[in-house]
Amino acid sequence: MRSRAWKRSVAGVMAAGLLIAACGSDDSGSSDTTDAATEASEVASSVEEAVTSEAEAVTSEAEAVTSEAEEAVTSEAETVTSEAETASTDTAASGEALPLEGQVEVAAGTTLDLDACPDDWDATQGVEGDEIRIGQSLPQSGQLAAFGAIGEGMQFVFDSINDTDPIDGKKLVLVTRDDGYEAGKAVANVEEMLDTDDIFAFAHMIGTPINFATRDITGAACVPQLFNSSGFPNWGDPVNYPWNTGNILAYSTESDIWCQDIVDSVGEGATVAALIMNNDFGLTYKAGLERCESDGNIEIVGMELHDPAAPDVTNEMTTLSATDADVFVAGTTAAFCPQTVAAVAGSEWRPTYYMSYTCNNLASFFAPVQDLAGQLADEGSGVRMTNGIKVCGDPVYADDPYIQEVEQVLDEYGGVTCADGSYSTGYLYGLMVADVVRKAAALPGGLNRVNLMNAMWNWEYTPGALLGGTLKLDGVNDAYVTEAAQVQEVVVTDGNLSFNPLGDVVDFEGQTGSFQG
Amino acid sequence: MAARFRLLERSPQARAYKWIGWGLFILGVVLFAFAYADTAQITLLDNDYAMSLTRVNKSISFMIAILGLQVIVGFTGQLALGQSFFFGTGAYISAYLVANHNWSWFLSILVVVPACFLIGVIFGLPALRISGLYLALVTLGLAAVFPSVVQLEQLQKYTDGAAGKSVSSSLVPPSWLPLDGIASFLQSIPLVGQYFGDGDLSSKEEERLWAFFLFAVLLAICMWLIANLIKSRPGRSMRAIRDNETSAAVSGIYLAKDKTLSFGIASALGGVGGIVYVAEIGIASPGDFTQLLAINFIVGLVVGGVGTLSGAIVGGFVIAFIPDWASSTVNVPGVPERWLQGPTGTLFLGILLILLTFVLPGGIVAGVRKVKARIIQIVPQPPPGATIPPAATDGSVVASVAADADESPDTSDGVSDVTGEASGEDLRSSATSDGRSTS
Repeated sequence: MRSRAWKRSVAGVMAAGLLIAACGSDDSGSSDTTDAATEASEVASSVEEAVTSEAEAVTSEAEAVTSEAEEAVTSEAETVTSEAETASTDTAASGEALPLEGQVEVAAGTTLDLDACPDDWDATQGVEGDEIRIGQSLPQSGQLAAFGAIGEGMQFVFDSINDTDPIDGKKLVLVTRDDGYEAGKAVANVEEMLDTDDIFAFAHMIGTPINFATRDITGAACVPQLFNSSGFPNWGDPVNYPWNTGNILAYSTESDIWCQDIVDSVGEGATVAALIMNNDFGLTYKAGLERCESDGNIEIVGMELHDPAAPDVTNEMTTLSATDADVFVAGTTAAFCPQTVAAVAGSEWRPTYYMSYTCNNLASFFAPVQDLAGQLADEGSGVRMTNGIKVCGDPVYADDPYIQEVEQVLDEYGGVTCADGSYSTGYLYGLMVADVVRKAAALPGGLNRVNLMNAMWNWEYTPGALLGGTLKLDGVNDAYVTEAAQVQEVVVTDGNLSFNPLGDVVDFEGQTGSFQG
Repeated sequence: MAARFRLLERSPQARAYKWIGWGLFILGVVLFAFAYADTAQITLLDNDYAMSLTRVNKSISFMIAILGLQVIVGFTGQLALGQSFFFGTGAYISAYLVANHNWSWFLSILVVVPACFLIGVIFGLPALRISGLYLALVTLGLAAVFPSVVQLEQLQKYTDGAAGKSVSSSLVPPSWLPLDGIASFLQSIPLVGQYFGDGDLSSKEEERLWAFFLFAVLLAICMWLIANLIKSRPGRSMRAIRDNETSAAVSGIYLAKDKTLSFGIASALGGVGGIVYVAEIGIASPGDFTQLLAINFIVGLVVGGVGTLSGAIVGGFVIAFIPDWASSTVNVPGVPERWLQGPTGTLFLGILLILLTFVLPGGIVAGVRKVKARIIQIVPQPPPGATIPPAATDGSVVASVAADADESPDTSDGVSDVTGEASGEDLRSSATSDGRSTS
């Protein structure tokens, strides 16, 4: 009894000692922010070391690929630089740096109120050292943990840019934190990152509630929050949220494209049945279809909402197939996409079939139902999606220089392939961030937060990933980044899943204006 | 092995100990708040652990919710796991009142508490018929439906559906409060001043500090109310129900009333926690109030200590910080880096839960109490008329009656093992009854 008690108290003292030690080192960290910065950079460099060593572990065969990849990236970077040089905004042309105080109009109707920024606000925070620190809160755990790969993909492309053509001689660093798709965690993450991680700007945070919750915080802190990765139409509001921009094709724009395509291919007054995921994203589709109906283009004969956490949608699909509508719209995502394919293929129903472009990862969502998808395509009911970008893994693009570049960089810096997850999306997202930052650095006054927003709101970028159109912003005149897409059909050719383009790229560039709400 | 110091209940020493203890605790909380008004990073083995008031404020909301669970699970013994439902309800109601009707955060308590109490009572009614695992299942179901309920089309205009109800109103400190003055005073203290940052507080830091103090006071009020409840007649009835329903009923306790009351109080506390949560975070979104949160509350309850009030504080802290700290852990000597990536937070909480169940079934608080009992012990006053023999053999001034009551640590260990939920209140009350029986 006595010795047990002794052991316990010794353990207690050791635990207390650990605690005290922890608090001890904390103090130096909290009192001196540069300490924190150096520590952070140490962590970053250790990560890099890890990546490098991993890369070294690859065989000589991979080394050959590496040199190719470097060349590819360099040439890509060169084109980017030349673009940056040619991209001259109004202010850049005048050669005068934008002021870092007062009301600064960075683009049409887009004014940054720098007087309202915190007292300790610094336009160059996060880029003063030899790093450009980009923050991101995204789900690495929970139901949507698969999106965590986007952050990794961004880091891979940052690493490759840092190695080949660094911006201003500085390293792009991505600081990520897990929010499990919970707004509460994202808020704490963003506030802590603002305080301690020396973040220059946030980019590509994923999810509607997350971006809703954080854009007030970043707006009040006068820190850019670029490329909200959610298709909610609210992310194009430069008047009220000049520090915040959207990214992907708005789901409302997508449903407009469907509407147009239904009229073109089925005819006016077509009957439509829709499966809608009951959340922000699905309900945006619902609103789009209802708008289409009220314009007299279609007639909605069946609409089933399903819970995002439901195990399957069999019941809903049975109800919808009973309507025998001309058109079926799958306004859902992830695992539900292949389920709808199986349900339609298993029924007598052969509608014109539209599906959310969030399911365009063929390897993830269509491989399990490949035969059924092929059968549907043969029977005139192929799955149609409005894609804006080339999908990595589609054999059609196997020889495309952009896709090859993606595969090389992912392999070299991460040892992963497109089939392993959303890394290729992260690759494109990383390129977008790098391009805006590079253009901001080229402006008079150099890289700072005001120039970043200036470059952002006057942005024009055409990465090799696009099927058509361009990524462009122009203040209130054009507040949405992605507005072009092409309706494509999923087909199976020679045993491989592939997209077959139907018609031309539909481009709403400059027509969607800004968010009015 | 007796405690190093023994103090007689209500003696001047015991009073001094109590007041000094509380004073130091409050001082510590205030100093902590000023030191961490700006997020700090704690670096341990090359890992950076963030420590921010934002997260502390979030943990306070969890603490209040877990306090509710203590009432229903810890003291009444009903396995109700759906606390996230009431947490979310409170969050949404107050978000709606503040955003759409310009109420102040604290005024919304007046609506949230009765509303959640009522809903709790209504859901408590079926619990009169079902118990144990079945009750756990039903209440967990309640937690599962919450995200879908707030996204119902009919509620869309109140809850803003899946996008979440965002509120921009923040807690602004009153102008008379010299937060800046206190900060600069603390900074001017030699040696320790450097730990309180430098320069004036920014408006954001002031708001955080103010929110923290308000929430801390709210938590203290809730704790005080529940502490009184537990000692009062309904509280004793609840504990009797927990220990043995049949004998409680035989002793004249109206089970239906006390069980539903307990459900109501637990739910009301869940609602108050929700207010704090949304006041801090600024958005009530369906993704935040899922089953996972309900399970996290249970984890916090067990890790902190079932049936202890302070266990709620430890538990809230654990579930707010451990997942984040676990995912910040990227370097552990001897562990491959690959193992430390991904959702390590959940894994770590799970391991903690399993470990504690085996090593410290009473939770962290029970462990701390065991250690404290070795150092200092407050023994009850001998009943009036008892003869007080000369000083005890171990040299400390103490009544032998009290020494009888708690003769050896084995007895007290035995008591804690029997009750399983080794709460200090229980220990003390059993000591008192022993003392009386000896006299």
